[in-house]
Amino acid sequence: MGRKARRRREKRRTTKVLVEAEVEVTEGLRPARERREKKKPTRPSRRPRYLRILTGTAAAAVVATILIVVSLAPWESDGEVTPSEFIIPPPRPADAPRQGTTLGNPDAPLTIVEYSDFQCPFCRKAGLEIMPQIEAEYVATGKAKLVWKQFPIEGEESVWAAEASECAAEQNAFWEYHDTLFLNRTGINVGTFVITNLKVIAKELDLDTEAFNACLDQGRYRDKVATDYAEARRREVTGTPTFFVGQTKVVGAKPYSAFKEAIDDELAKLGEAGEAE
Amino acid sequence: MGDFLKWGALAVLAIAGMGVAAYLTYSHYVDQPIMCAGMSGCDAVENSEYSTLLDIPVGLLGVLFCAGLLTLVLARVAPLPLAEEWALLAAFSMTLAGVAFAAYLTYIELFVVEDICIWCTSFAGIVTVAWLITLVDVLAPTTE
Repeated sequence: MGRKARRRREKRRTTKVLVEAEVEVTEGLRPARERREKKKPTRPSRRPRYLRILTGTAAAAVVATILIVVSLAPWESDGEVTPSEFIIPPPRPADAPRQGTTLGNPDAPLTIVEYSDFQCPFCRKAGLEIMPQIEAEYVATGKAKLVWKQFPIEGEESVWAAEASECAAEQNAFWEYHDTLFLNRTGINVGTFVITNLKVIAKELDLDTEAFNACLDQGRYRDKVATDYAEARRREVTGTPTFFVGQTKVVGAKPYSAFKEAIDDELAKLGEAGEAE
Repeated sequence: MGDFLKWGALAVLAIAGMGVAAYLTYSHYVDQPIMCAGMSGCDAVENSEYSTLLDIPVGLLGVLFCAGLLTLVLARVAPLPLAEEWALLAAFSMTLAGVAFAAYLTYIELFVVEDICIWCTSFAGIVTVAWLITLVDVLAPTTE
């Protein structure tokens, strides 16, 4: 066999391999439906197409309906909490300095402002677990004072609770009312902080209920709550709770160590500024 | 729309949706307010009673939804024999249910909680685009 003939044979073999490879690649890239049709060209659809679309739509509707029904069902609460269920916290020390929604020595060098909502779960955590530690270490020792500002973002019961707490502040009982609200929080807009219950809480705390009820019914602090809310928005507060430890913004119910660091830093700055003067 | 483009787009949307939903789930379980891109309302929405279904955060349902969609895409691209026939219809049904539920949640945001959560809205947008992709294909003329 001549060299030319051998080359031709090799070329034919190479071409065949390339063509086969090309076919394989093309097969791989071809849409699945085409390949299926090639393998089973006469396979009919088991159901008419419109029926399949209809079945899919119906299945989607069923799933979505179930989800919505479950979401709307009152799983969390079945209505108002009866007065006997309210937990009343132990009274705070009578000699602790306070004024309105401010706790601590008014001349304390550092001010910690909290924008909060009585219905927000993280605010509850901050109010019951973190703030007491700050109060013990910094407020009771006169290093800082705590100022509560209303930022009711969770709905109408948040607004009512905020107004009620201001009415309690009128009787110098804001912090007891604050503790009671957080202790009895059961959810968001579930009927716990409706007007009647807010009045019962005032009664349980031995407040002057006539004055308290009149204050709440008249909406005496509606503007004050709105002003706090607007102030929070102005200060670019977007969530609750948000704290301003001096000039340091602390967002969320952070661990106590985070607050301690911020407070110590701010106190150090104040100390340096005092020395400089 | 080509098969590659369609399933690729669905995969990208599923991954993006999973990221958004995972962040919402994380913020639900961790004491960390949601980053809200300068907008208010994320926490109001996330802390509302509508943010859970039987104590399961809606965000977690979103993660599971996207994981399901991604599984469908992978099954179809593999391709598994059953997925070749059913993946598109399943994706269409899933995303349609997703759109309906997202529409309901958006209604809750606007008219009940009265605040908009940019993360939730983004997720709703992702699901809607995914549904439209499947819808176009489902309605496209075929040789069947």
